[in-house]
Order: sequence, then structure tokens, then C-alpha cells
Amino acid sequence: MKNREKGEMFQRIGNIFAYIGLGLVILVIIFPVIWSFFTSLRLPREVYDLGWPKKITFSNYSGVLFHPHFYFVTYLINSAIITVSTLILTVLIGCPCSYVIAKFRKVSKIIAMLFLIIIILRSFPGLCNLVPYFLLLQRLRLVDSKMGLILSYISGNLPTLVFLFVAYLIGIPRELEEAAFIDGCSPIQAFFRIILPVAKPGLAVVAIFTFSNTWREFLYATILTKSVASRTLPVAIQMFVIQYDIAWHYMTAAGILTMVPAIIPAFYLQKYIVSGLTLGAVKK
Amino acid sequence: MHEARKKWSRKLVIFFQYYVWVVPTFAILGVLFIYPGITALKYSFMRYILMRPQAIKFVGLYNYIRLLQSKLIHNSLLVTLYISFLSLGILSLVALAVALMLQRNIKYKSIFRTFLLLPVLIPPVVYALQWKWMFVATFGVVNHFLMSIGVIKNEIPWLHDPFWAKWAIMMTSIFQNLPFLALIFLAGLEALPPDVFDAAKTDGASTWQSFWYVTMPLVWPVLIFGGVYTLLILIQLYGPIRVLTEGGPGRATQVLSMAIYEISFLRYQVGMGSSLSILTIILALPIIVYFTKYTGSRL
Repeated sequence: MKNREKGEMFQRIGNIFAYIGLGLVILVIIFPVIWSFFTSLRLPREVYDLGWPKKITFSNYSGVLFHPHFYFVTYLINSAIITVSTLILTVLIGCPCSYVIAKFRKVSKIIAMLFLIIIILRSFPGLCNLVPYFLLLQRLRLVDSKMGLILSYISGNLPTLVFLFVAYLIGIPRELEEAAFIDGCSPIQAFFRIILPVAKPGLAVVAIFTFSNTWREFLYATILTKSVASRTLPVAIQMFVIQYDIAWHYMTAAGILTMVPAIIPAFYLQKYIVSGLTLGAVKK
Repeated sequence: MHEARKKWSRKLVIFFQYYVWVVPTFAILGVLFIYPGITALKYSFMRYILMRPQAIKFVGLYNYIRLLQSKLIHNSLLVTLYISFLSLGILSLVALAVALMLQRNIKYKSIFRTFLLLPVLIPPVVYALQWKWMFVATFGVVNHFLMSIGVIKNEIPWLHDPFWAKWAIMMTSIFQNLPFLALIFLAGLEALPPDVFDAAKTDGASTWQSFWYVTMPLVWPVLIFGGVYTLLILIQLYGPIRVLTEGGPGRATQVLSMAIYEISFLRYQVGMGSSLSILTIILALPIIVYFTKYTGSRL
């Protein structure tokens, strides 16, 4: 009896430490975001102040959005076009492929080998493909075009998407599909009518990951874009630092504006993100 | 004869009904992923200046020998290993602690999780810029905070000192990648069968004993997986470094990715850049092999 009481006390003390520890870690992790947000609300001459903003102003945001030499809206549209096209095309190309791999990887040697290629490419460092990819696009005259960037993102995202979706599809019972075939469905019908509706959570996972990876991508975007017409937000925002001698009030506002589209959809879908992070990594 | 033909026609039907679906994916990967990789191997043996494609010349192993002898590469290799392994070590310990805390039976778990997810989604360049704003020497919050609690007397020149610049980068990448790793560890912990712990408890194991001898061996594979995954991100680090220090001061934070960038796109030596890419692949090969084995055995 006494022992149990002691155990409960330890449990409670442990929990208190957990609250403090988690609180501290989260505070440090999100403090830069909060601090940036504060700065973005300050008047330019008060940028170096500490503490709460004295007078809240949104002039930095409107300044960034309508700055005559900084085409923020153009970059935002570029980023949106590139991200959405990549997302749609990658999902359309990758999902049927995942279905076939999930279905036949144990039956057909060719499919098993293709799956192996997917797994290898998934962990292949994108950095190593940068130079040859640039040379290829140069030959195709696609450097500094949205198209070239979209193509690079499709090929970069496909292995991860196919891998994750295969990992998800494997968990779906086969009986579902067989029932569809008995009802006289063709394979295409079975995929679209039976499998996809059941696999919606998996689809959400791979869609979020493709979206987030594309929106944030920086390395390829710096190399493959040179003009306002194709530059994406992460590249543009970094140029703010170099070209304009760090106007922190604009910089922080631009940072918040770049961040928000990546975060908003994800907050609604957070349980999918958690499951996506661990899909294929942990045996359930 | 008849049987064989029947078998073939069945295979054909399956091919057109299913296997066709994999063609677009592998056509794209072949043209845009595997083919460039092969050309990289080809160009790595050539002298190739970006502006003069007509003057490509086969030079054998010259590029590789030059690279392996060059101080620039030695430096960037060391910096890459320093930054990635040191941050990985710290990162793993903190992430494990966070995962163990999240695993406890505490309230508001989902709120903690939501906030933890945030940095996973913020574009690394933006997050690094936000940190840069805090690291600014004279007006930065970090220095101000450390001075007000009396840890330091003088401002630390975070981004202009070879030693502190590395730590500024490491702190940024640690906090950006921490949540991801912690959530992987947590999933590993939650996937453990609960009856093992009950058994350990009945056998009279202390909390520490059951953690060290029961929990750790069981989650070890997941810990390694998460660690290697993070390592793969860390050795390719580019955006945060470009934003925070641009490889400086001097070459104190010039990692491999910055070296590839400098050689290929500032000096236009794309042949040399291709060789460096191939060397990077060789460096990453253990990671790729490990990954293939780990995920292959799990699916």
C-alpha cells in the first residue's frame, strides 16, 4: 500500500517535470516565430525595441505586398502555381503506380524491382542531382522557367509519394477489392471507386507532404530561377536580406506571409501529418 | 503450346490492365532523375566549363584528384561532419527526452503536439531568417537575454565568429528538426507492447532498469532510423546556412552543399561540380543502403 502511494507520488512529480520540460522546449522552438511576428507589427523606427509592440501597425505587411521593387505578389503567385501544379501532377501520376506496386510487389519480380528503385531514390540526396539536372534543363532550355522547376519537383517528390502511398495501401484489406471484382468492376473502376475512397487519409498524408516539400524548397529554386517571372517565395525572401540590407520590419512580415500558407492547411490535417511522419518507419 | 500461349495472353492482359500504370512514374524518374545521375558520372571525368560547352574535354580522374587534394573540400567535409554529427547527437538526446515526456499520461497532450508540429511545416529559410533576427549581435534578443540573466558580459558575435557561427547554424537546425525526430521516437515508443512493461514491473525492475533494459533495446531500431533520416537532411543542409552566414565568416561554415554551389555555379566548373556530387553520393552510400534495407524489411 505504502509502495503504491510512493509510486503515485513519483508519477506526479514526473508529470510536473514533463510539463515544465515540454513547455520550455516548445517555447524555444516557437519563440523565433513569435518574435518575428512582434517585429512585423512594429513601426520601422521601433524595430529594435524589446517587449510588446507599443503601437500595432500593419504597414509592414502592406509595404511588403505592394512594394514597387519587391514583387511579393508575383512571387506568391509563382509559388502557388508551381506548388499546386506539382501537387496535382505528382498525385495523379504517383497514386495509380502505388496501387499497382502494392498489389503486385509480391507476385511480379519486375514490380518488386521497381519498388526497390523507388526506395533507393527516396533516400537519394537531392543535392547530388543538382548539377546534372541543371545541365539537362539547360539543354532543354527550361532553366529559369516555372516548367523546369515543376518538373524537378515532380521527379523529386514522386519516390516519397509512391513509397508512402504504397505503405498506406498495404494496410488496406484485400477483400474489399476482391468484392469489387466479383461485382464486375474493371481494375480502373476498382481503384477509383473502392480503393481511393478508403485510402483518403493516406491520400491526405501524401498530398500534405508533397505540398509542404514543394512550398519550402530552396536549393533547386535558387539554381533554376533567375528572373521575377519564375522565382519562388523562399528564394525571394532570402534576396530581401542581401539586396536590401536587411530591412527587418519588411523581412519579418514577408517571413510570416510566406509561412502562413504552409501552416494553415496543416493545422486542420495534423493527425495525418503525424501518421505520415511515421508511415513505413514504425511497425504498427 | 496452347497452354503457353494462354499464359502469355494472360500476362498481356495483366500488363495492359495494371502494369501500364507504373509507366508514367518510371518514365519521369528515368528521364529526370536517373538519366541526370548517369550524366553526372560522365561529366565527372570531363573538364566542362559552363560557358564553353564546345570545349568539353575528357580528363580521366583529374577532377577527383584535384578535389581530394583541395583544401576547400577538406574544409567543407570537416565542417559538414562537425555540424551534422554534433547537431545529430544533441538532437537525438533532446528528442528522446521530449518523446518520453510526451509518452507520459499528461493532460493537454494534443496541444503540445500541435505546437511541436509547427517547425516541421515552416519553410527552413524562413525559420532560419527568424533565428538570424534573434542572433543579430547588437540588437538581437539572444544576446540581450543572455546578458540580462548574467551568463555573458559581452555580446557574442553569433554570425561573425567561426566558432559561434557553427553553433548558430546548429541551434537553428536542431530546433527545426527536433519535432520531427521526437514524433518518430514517440511513435516507436507507443508501438511497444504494454505487457512487456507489466512483466518487468512484476519482476521488480526499477523505472530506470525497465527503461534501460526493456524500453531501449525495443525502440533502438526506430531510434536509429530516425537518426539516420535526420542525418540525411543535415548533410544536405543549404538554405539555413545560406541565410545565416553564407558559408562565412571566411569558410568557417562552408558545408558540402555550399562547395558544390561555389564550384559549379560561381566558378562555372560543372565538370568538377559533377565529381563532387559523385563524391557526395559515395559519402551518403551507407545511409542509402541502410534505408533500403530498413524500409525493405518492413514492407
